Amino acid sequence: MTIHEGRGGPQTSDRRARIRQGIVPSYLLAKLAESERYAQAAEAARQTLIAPAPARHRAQLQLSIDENGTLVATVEAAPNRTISDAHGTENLPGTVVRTEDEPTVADLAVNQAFDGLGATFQMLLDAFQRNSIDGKGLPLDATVHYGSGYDNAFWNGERMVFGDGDGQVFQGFTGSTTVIGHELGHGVIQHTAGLEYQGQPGALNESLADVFGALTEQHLLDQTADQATWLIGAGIFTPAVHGKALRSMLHPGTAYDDPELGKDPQPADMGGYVKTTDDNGGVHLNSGIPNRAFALFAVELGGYAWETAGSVWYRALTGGLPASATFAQFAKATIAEADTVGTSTGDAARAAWASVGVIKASGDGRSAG
Amino acid sequence: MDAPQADPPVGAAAAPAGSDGAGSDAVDALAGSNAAGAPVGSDAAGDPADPDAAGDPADSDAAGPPANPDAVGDDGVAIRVARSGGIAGMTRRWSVQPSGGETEHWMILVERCPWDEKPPASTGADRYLWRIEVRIRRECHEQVIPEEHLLGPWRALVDAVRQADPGTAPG
Repeated sequence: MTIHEGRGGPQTSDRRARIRQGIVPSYLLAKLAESERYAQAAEAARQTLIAPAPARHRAQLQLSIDENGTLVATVEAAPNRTISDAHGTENLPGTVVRTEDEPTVADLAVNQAFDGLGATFQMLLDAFQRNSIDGKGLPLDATVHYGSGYDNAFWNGERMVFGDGDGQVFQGFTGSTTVIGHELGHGVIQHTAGLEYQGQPGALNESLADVFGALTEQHLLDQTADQATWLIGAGIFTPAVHGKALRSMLHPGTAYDDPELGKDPQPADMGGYVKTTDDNGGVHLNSGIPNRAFALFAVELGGYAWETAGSVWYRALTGGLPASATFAQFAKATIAEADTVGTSTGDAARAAWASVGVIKASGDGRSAG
Repeated sequence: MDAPQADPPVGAAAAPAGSDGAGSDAVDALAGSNAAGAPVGSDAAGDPADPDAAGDPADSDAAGPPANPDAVGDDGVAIRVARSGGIAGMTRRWSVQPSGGETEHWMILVERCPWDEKPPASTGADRYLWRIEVRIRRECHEQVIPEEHLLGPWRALVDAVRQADPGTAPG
């Protein structure tokens, strides 16, 4: 049998310490769990590995057989999810209705939130070797059924919170994996660059949350960039609304066109940059510009967007980006990361940012907005 | 789609403003700031499609004067509430022009609010932002409050306006 310490970060002593659940190292537990010679010890090891974790960090054991017929046990980071129910009030966190080791419940919103958190956790781990939103196995907490007819989902700095919608324009916000990934993405951003939630850094914050949301859905559905919808919040509108989603990353401004709601106001390039004091300076509007840059970049590269394209954006976010970063600063950071991958990747990044008007076509960064 | 429904209005004398969508109410002008803001380089002074609003300073972005002197009720009072932000980034607006015997009730709600106190900053992301503007004849008040801090007298005022006016659809 082969034992691997799996994803969740580099093979460092620090990481090994994180995924260890007790005094016996997880790899030894995994080996013991497979032992036929020591049946009692094997059962004890199995129970230890699956027991609810008293600590906030968890590990999961995955068994597989490789091409040589060897049993492979992989121990990797695992999510630690807790879903609470606000029961239509605005009191947080609400009452706990499902924890990590509990089965599905009758409430669809609870299960959707639980599964969405799991999908986001797995994407972060697989794509970026990131163990939860802080990189250190932070438990993932969410509250559903917040408020009465509440038309929103938000990240309050500690947990994701989901409303049920008014039933006429919006329906339950847990129904979209991209929305859940978006909210968790805000958590990642908070624990990395900490982008200010105002103006251009605020719009970057929103855009990066959309990137995390889109990558979560694509990873879950095993979609390549050209197969993906690049929609954020598909399924959030009721059938009465003339619209596909809240936003389109690839084609900003086309997500909806409804007699009551009007037309999706997101700009697709700097020529349409919106100046407003509403919404912290239009953070949910101007995010369309970097959103399109990322989608164009990913589609140009092809394959799975969370691999090269996502990694380039992630490394730019986590590589010392200032909290006050402008679009042009972020473009420069992503181009630098893309250049480390290869010339064609760097050129694709330059072309994407030039296409939305953040840099000149020649590739020189320029102040935007 | 159908317009979103609202709770039954209370305070019959507090006329919902702008709820008919015709743009003819006086508070339409007061509440006429650009929901999506103005593209850079465009004329931010008004919506070209709305001749009534063109050139009205209050129709520029919400950073402008909070109220049009003409856009008030019989007793010179207008209250406007806008909710922006949220993951959808859509803005909804509600407003009233109280008159007659209801004005005193609204004035009490307005005066209970701590207009001179700066609210704490918001935390997290995708939270709503509430902008509350009041015009009492030529006196203007404005405050922007993160939803988690919309409490006490602020919440009472906003809830009253939302009950009196079905408001605009998100957009």
